[in-house]
Amino acid sequence: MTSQFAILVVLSLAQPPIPNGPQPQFAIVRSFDKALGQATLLQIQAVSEVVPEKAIVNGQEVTRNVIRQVLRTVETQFSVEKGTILDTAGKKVPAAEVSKRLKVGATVLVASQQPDPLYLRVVLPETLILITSPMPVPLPKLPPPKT
Amino acid sequence: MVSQTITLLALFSLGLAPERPPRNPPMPKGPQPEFVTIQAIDPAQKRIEYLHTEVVIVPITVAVLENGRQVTKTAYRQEYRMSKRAIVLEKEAVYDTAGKKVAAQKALKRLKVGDTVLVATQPVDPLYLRVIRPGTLILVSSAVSMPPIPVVPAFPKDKSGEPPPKRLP
Repeated sequence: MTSQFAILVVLSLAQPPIPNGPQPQFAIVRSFDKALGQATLLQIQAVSEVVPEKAIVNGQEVTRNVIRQVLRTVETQFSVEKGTILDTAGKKVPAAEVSKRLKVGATVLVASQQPDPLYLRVVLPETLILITSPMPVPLPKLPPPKT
Repeated sequence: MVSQTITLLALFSLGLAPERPPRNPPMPKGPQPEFVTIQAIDPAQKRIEYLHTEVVIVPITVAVLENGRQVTKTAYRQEYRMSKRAIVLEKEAVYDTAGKKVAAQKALKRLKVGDTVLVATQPVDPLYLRVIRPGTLILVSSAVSMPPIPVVPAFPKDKSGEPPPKRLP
């Protein structure tokens, strides 16, 4: 019994670690209103687009829909009061310190939840991680329970 | 004399003026790299397997109450999926955070299973690398296609303007 447990422990130790949750994204601070605590972030995202493309098949010109990846600059707003800012150790950065550290042109990380420490191992300790609210998901309104 | 005074005043005011933030901060050229963790290394084939996390948008069916009636609607939910991908170091390029190329053999010596590295389809803009620890390796492979974001199909709308509900799995 003990040997079986030991084998299981050894096997679990041999497996490489797997990060939990999504990886953080990079963003550039475009502007920061200290009075309002509002930051504008810029991100370059790869978006798939369906583009019609002309091709010649069996000597005839046909139009095909091709999925192409295009880079888009996406601008998002971040409120220091409403959102959370963490350091790479997962500690909350107070708003007063954020005002000092968040500078226009700086590179920050953006995530919808606290990023797994496995990702943050390669991130410089002074980097700010802005936790934004995740994409709104419509929640179902369930009927009241029958009595 | 007057010009000297003006010059001195100008220099003095420049010294006192607070540092203004750049109006249009520089933007990175190119896509951002992705964080991945190494799962396996084959030194003979110089092949590295890594775990890639991607966000997919999945349609789900939800029951909602409208005017006291229960109707089903389609909503969309973000899900995180992990997939294993492989890269052959000899065929692709490895860079350090300073933008210098690292030889495949050297990279193999530095990499260990469980390490976190960055993966990109082209050399990474230094603006992204400002927040990355020196010593981190960046695997650049044109073959690593970024996960395509699923194109949400255009559902035919019914009279109420709502797309028809999807069948529950």
